Amino acid sequence: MTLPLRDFTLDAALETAGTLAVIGPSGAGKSTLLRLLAGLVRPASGEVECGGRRWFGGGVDVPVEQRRIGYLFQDYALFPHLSVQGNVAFGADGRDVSPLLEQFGVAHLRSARPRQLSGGERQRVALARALARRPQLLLLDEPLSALDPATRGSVAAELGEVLRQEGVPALVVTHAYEEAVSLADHVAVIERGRIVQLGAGRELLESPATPFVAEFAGTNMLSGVATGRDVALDRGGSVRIADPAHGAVAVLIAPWQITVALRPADDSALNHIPGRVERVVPLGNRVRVVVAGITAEITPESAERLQLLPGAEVVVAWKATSARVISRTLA
Amino acid sequence: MFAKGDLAAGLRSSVARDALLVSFQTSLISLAAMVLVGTPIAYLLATRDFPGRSLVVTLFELPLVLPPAVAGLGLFFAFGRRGLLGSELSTLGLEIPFTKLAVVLAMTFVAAPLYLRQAQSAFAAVEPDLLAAARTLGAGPGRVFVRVAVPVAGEGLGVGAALGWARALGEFGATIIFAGSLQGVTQTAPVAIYLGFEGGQSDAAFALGAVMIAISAAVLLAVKLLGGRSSRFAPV
Repeated sequence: MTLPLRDFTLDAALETAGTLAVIGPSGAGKSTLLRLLAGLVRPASGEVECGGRRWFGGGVDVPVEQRRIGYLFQDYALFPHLSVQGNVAFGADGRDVSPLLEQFGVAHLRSARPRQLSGGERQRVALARALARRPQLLLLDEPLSALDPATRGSVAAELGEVLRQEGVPALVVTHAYEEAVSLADHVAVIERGRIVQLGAGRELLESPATPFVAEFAGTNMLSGVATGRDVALDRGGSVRIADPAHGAVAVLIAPWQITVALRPADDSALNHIPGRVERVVPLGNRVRVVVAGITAEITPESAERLQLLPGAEVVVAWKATSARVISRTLA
Repeated sequence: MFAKGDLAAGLRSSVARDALLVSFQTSLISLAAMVLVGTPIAYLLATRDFPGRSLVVTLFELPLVLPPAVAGLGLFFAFGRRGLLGSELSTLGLEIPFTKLAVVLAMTFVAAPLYLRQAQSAFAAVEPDLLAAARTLGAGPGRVFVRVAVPVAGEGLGVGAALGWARALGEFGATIIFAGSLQGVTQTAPVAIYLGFEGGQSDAAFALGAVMIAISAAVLLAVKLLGGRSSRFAPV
């Protein structure tokens, strides 16, 4: 389907059965994509089909209220004048919503008003409300962005579990890579209204199609000019690559291919870049260490052993064979 | 001089009692009319965009800036016996000028724009995502309006209704021209005050004036309380 916007035309073709994360820079058209599917915005042309039923295209335009969708709005859009129970029951067609309230752990809040709830509670009420409609398609617009970082992790796990249990196709707009891969099987990347990459989360990390994808996924991208197996980096210094190349290139190295050491190892197959530790971020069972703008992912044990603290002098290293080189004129 | 005894006597006079009764009857009917008809119109004006929208809004707001006496003349020329619609109406057996209906029409014409404006801004302040959420939950346009838009905009609508009613209650210029001043039929409190004051029945005039002041103060207080409530509870 297509929709002309102020700066560009949204043009997307997608087919999904499981959970699909939609990522992209702000203003890329992610929320608009959801609104098009919901029927809140009418595409200029194209087709929308769900569960074998045509929602849009060929003279058909099913109104929003007749598409069976569960839409989670960015700030949840709970009805302020209704209780938790009233909110969840709104789209339930008279079905008993008590089991849903129980499932989402908000049964004890059933008569509370939205303004009395915490961010995490609001999110669960909004999700319960969307599911009470028994949707055929779930559209979640940045479901975790309104939460504080402390609750985000646990709510993300809950949400992933719910999405797997419901077995309803879902599109989740998100702006964090960890969120995208923890919630979804596949990730679609939208830039300026176009889907530039669609694949599993790991693929995005290993072979990002654009600099945005690389940055989003946390892939290290060093730009420079290649002459044979040497690349003179724009930031200064040079690195070795496995296959000869020429001209402007980007060297992509996944964070887990990079090791951190206190001294350079005596190995000519390795590229070394010395620098100071900028940040140390625990990430599940891994630790992300940022050294001189390069992100390495190491085990908590190594981080402990190296006593990595911001400011420490270390060396990051990777094998020339583990880096991928893309021509920047194409990327 | 004006004393306590005069106030009681003034209120007991048939002129004052009739005028208050007419005023309350007609202004409440007018209020009902503007709320019932004006609320959906205000909602559409606030949430839909259509060609000629600003022209429609301007037309609805015209009575706000029109001198009420001119509004009365306009109504007379529209609904009077020899007016634009007068002959059609009189073949139906409807004579509007100098009836209670004329009072209601005059009040509504002058006061409805006030309610409409207030209601429109109350609806415009409703978070669009709330209306969108209601639609995604299966509510058609009518249900969205009744179950979400009106309750969420409720406080603003209440303020508008209070202001509109007060304006209808105080209507003078359009009423006296279009409806006249028949005691017990079309003579409203403001008209009775004017005539009583002119005609030397100042007891009734002052008594009515005191009642009007009390009502105005009560309306203003109600508006302040409603307004205070809505600002204390920021929308979620």
